[in-house]
Amino acid sequence: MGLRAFIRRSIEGIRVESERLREIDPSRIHFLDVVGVLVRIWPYLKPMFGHSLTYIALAIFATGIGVFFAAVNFGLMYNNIILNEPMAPLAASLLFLDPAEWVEVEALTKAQQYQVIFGVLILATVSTSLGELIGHAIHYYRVWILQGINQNLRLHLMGQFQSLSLKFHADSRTGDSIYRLFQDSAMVTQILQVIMDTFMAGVRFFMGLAVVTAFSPMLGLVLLCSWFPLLWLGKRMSAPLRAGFKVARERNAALTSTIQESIEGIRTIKVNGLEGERQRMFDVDSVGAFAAAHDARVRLMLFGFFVFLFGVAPLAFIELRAALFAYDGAETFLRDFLLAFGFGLWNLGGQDQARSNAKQSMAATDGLVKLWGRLQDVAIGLGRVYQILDLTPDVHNRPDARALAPVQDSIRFDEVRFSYPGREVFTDISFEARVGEVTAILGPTGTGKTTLMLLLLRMLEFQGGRISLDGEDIRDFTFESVRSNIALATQENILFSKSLLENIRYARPDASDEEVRAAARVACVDEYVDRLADGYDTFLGERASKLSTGQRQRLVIARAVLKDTPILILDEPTASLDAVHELRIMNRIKEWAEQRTVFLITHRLSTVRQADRIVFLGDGVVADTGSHDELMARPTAYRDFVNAEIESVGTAAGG
Amino acid sequence: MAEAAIPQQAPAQAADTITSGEALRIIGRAMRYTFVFRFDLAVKAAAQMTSIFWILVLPWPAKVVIDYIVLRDTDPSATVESIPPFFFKPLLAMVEPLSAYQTVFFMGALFLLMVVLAGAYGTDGAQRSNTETELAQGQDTATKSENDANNMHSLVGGLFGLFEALWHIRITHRLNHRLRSELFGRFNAHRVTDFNDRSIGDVVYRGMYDTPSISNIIFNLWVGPATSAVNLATTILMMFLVFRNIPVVVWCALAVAPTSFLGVLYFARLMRRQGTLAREAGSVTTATIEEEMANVMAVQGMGSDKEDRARFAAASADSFKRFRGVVLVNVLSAFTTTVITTCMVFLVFFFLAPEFIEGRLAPGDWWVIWGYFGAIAASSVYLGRLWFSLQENVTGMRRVFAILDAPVEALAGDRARQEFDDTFALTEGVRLEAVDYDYPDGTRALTGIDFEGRIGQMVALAGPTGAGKSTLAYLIPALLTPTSGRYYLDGRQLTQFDLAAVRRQVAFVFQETSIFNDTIEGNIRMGRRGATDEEVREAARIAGVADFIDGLDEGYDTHLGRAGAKLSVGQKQRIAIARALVSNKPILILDEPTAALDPQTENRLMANLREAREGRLVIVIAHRLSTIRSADHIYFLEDGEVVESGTHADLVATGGTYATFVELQSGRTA
Repeated sequence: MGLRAFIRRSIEGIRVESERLREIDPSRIHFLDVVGVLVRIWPYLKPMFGHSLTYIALAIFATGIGVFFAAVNFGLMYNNIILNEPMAPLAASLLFLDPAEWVEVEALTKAQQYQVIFGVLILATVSTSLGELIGHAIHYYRVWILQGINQNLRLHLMGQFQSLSLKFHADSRTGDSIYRLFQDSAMVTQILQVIMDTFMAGVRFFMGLAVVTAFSPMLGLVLLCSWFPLLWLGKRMSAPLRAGFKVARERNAALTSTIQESIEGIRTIKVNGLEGERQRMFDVDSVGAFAAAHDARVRLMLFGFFVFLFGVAPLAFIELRAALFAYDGAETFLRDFLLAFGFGLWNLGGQDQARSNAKQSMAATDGLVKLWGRLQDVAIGLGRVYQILDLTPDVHNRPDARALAPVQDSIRFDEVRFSYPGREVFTDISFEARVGEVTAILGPTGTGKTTLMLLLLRMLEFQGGRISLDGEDIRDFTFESVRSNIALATQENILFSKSLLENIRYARPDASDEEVRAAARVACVDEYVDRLADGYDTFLGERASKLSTGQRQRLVIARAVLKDTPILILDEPTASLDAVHELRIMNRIKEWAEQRTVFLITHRLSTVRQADRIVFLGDGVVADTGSHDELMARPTAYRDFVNAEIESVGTAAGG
Repeated sequence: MAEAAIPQQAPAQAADTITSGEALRIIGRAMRYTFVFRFDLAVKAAAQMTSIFWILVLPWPAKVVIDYIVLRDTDPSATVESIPPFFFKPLLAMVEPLSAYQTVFFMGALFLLMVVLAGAYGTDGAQRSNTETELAQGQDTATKSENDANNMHSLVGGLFGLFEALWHIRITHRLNHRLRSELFGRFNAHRVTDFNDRSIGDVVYRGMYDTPSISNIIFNLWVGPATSAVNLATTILMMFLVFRNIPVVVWCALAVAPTSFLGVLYFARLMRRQGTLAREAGSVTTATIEEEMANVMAVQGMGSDKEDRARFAAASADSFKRFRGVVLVNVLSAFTTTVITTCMVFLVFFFLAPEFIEGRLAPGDWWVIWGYFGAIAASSVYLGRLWFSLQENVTGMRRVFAILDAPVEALAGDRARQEFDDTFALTEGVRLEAVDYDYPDGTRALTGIDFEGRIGQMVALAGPTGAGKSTLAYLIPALLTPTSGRYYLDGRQLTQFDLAAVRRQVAFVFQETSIFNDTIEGNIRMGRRGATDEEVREAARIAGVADFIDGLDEGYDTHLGRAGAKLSVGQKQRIAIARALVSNKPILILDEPTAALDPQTENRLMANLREAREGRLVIVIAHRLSTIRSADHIYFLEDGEVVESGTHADLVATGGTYATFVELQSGRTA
């Protein structure tokens, strides 16, 4: 397997192809998949790569300083203060001491031993001030780098969420998305840790191994062989670990959703007296989340227990065997080389060196295996992020798609078909809307009036037939350019927690204040803005609860008007408006929309009458199309609709 | 007047500084939460103290190996002045008759036993583990909280450490659950107006990421100090027993505590400030995500993904930046502590070295002394930094307590009448007299409202947008309570009821309906859990949604996704109407029920409602003349006041505002 194939195989491990979220199966993820999860971090790491390298270099430097001075200082303390052996040449030269007096002697005098105390203090001061200062400073640097990497991934994920079609959003929970963006994506910050730890562990293991082997090849072999049981353990435990982490993450995401949904529907809950029920649901989810976290952590604890046991047994063997070497006064393996450090024969310092180096190697291994354990959680977390990133938005551009120029003539639907999973919506929709006209879309509740407009916006993809703009297939244009040609005033008044002005300006951030005010006038927003204390600067809470529904509706219309596009879709614009405002707004919009195409979804007869053309939907097809007068002239579904409306007024009047 | 003067409220307030006094109060209050777990915490503290014993024993076997084997010293205690502790003597006695190889074998077995029991032998580094399961975490407060919510603090490993960790995580989980459950309950009890300016993201953040702060507070207040104090005492005792002639080691180690405390005192205040800022920025980010997800249709429909991405990027970057503030304070304080500890180490070394040079201490004592010094210094550092370590958690707890302390909706509710409340069912009607309503910020919404609705009636509220119709309707189920004036149910004042009793009287269909992540049937049954299948289907039929449901593959079991995104607005509204109908309560309020309905459905619904008013009070808010006309009584509102009321015929005859309104409507319809 070549490197390229290796990388592809590892990357594709957790890929998902379809719009539906496939379950991540923890037992089917293998070593390469976990590696692949890490390899895929590269695009997010890339912008921070220079900083990452700098950080790693600094970290190694700081550690190196610490290790080097510690080695020298321990030698001084052991061999020269506790024992009075001659000083090692390296230490002597560092302290600018004459080798003739310090190194090439039988033993140190007491006076010299007292001097060594100061030597140790000087070296320790240097190492502490250098090593600790750098060490602490780069901690902050590291946080900054990791946050940058995390930010890159978050933004990519957020972008993906926004470009997934409404079909996806209909099936997923908001809390789950919050969890993926926040908690799951944070796992990306482990990448530096993984690189550093793996690298440092490798260096430390082999350095330790080299020293131990220099003292005794047999002990070196023991150290090397200690890997096998640990590898087996890592392999054996990773699937159960992943399974635990997966459940823990899913439960936490579900809990987040429970909170979010409860607050979203708080009024309904209150008025139905369901607080107790929601509380019980919350408690079940909360306990479930903790139970899952508990389970996952118990697995990790057991893993850690065995890793330590398997790792430390060889270490004890090495330490005790070395003690016996010292007891026997045996020669070290690389006697001539080690003589420079004072370890020609096994002695106290030698045993300590062998022990501490073996310990270092073992600590590196231990850390690496435990890192592997934690990595299973990282793999699951990032897997949940990639799951979203790998979804192919079902609306996408053809390779040769071009930008749409403003529509000059007409918009046509020809035999358009569309169905939601499990429910057919349109079997054959054909009609034409002309520029400069108001086209009303009518039909009983649930016939798909809004859906029809979402097809035009390409927020949903139709499955058959053709939508053409000035005779050209809509799919020949990029969906971004199609959307930028259309303004949509949604039926559910979606506002953001910003000021009133910004909420209107949301449609076109570069609009001047005058343009915003002009749009506000078209939608009669200006009438109530003047009565607000802060006017256009009034801050709207998340659900703008203090504006009445009608006021919010006008705001949404103003936003659509401001976007100043050739096509305008008004979805039930007047449902919550009183008669006066309805008439006023419709007149102003007609005036404003002279050279535009306006789609009007409505139930209200009074609003329909403003339209030049009526498209009456029924049961997946266009039942009738034509002007009001045309449709009233013959028996049509539309005529029944109008009569029902009039009759209802009549009945009410009589009753 | 609903729209007048809405308070300017930025999403994140600047962090007002928490004083030391408030921090103390917050900590004290957090401690009271743990009182329930006092037994469990005592066991945990006992376990931790026992684990200190393990740590004390650990250095001694290593000394045997060094003195007896490596240095071939047959009787080290004879030549030095140190006195081995009591538990060391039996060990020496055991080793005494053994050969070097036998000793080594014996020690090997001992080491393994210690590893299994306590996860350690020897004094430092790899020979020692503790049971910790810190999982990978990100670099902001929210992702750190996950580890807080699962902390288990165990000093040792092995079987003992496992037990200790499991015991502690049980406490952590129960405590966290209790707190967040209480918080959630409190949110549910808030007045609906409290949610006007609070983002859902903020609620999520407090519930998920602020509550875990209590874990650290509890550990640091109960177990940590107790363990550290005992640890200090026993280690010092041991040191004096063994090395009573070199007390400088002990004094230096002890001096770390007060110097650390003073050294990091300044940082405590900084930490409170940065911690608060970080959490606020995090909750803004959560809110941004939540809004983006909830409003994805507008985002895509307006083609403004780019701006929204920029908005999210800014919020997210800010939360990261604020967290770096926390990191910076931590780094500075840690460095200060390091400098202090290092100075103490130098001092000790300076005094100790001569003892070794003069041969008053055996080489094997070296590790023992440093082991003890390390233990004492670690406890000292812990105690010295305790106040500082608590600060970040204080900021989280403060955000939790702020919610727990916020006023909840409640009526005076005479407890003695509980029994009456439980069985109360409205038989006559409701009446408002001279009711004013002001928003919490003081803005007047309703003025001098007189309103009456009797069982058997259908009452309409009409008027221009923003006249206060919905606000008036909210008063009926006491979602809002009058600022002044009187509200009677069956002639008894509202203040004499408890909230649940009032809510049991009212079914409400809101203008913007809520659909929950449940099946269609579950959503309808929210009105009354005990409803039979027939009743559910009947309600769906009346609401005009039965045909639609029957046409679905899974019918009533169809699961509705995110806030019912699979349904059209009209379908959602009809499900909400079915929900209200199935509840079968004395009062039914419909806020613009027909806005999203086609005329046929509306006619059928209105006909059904006219029937339904038998034994019921139906209150309808509407713009449509057809709906308004069929009411028995009409209240016409303007600018928060009832300007006209009466029957359709009366009002038209009067020729007032309502008549003008009717004229306009009819003109358009005919």
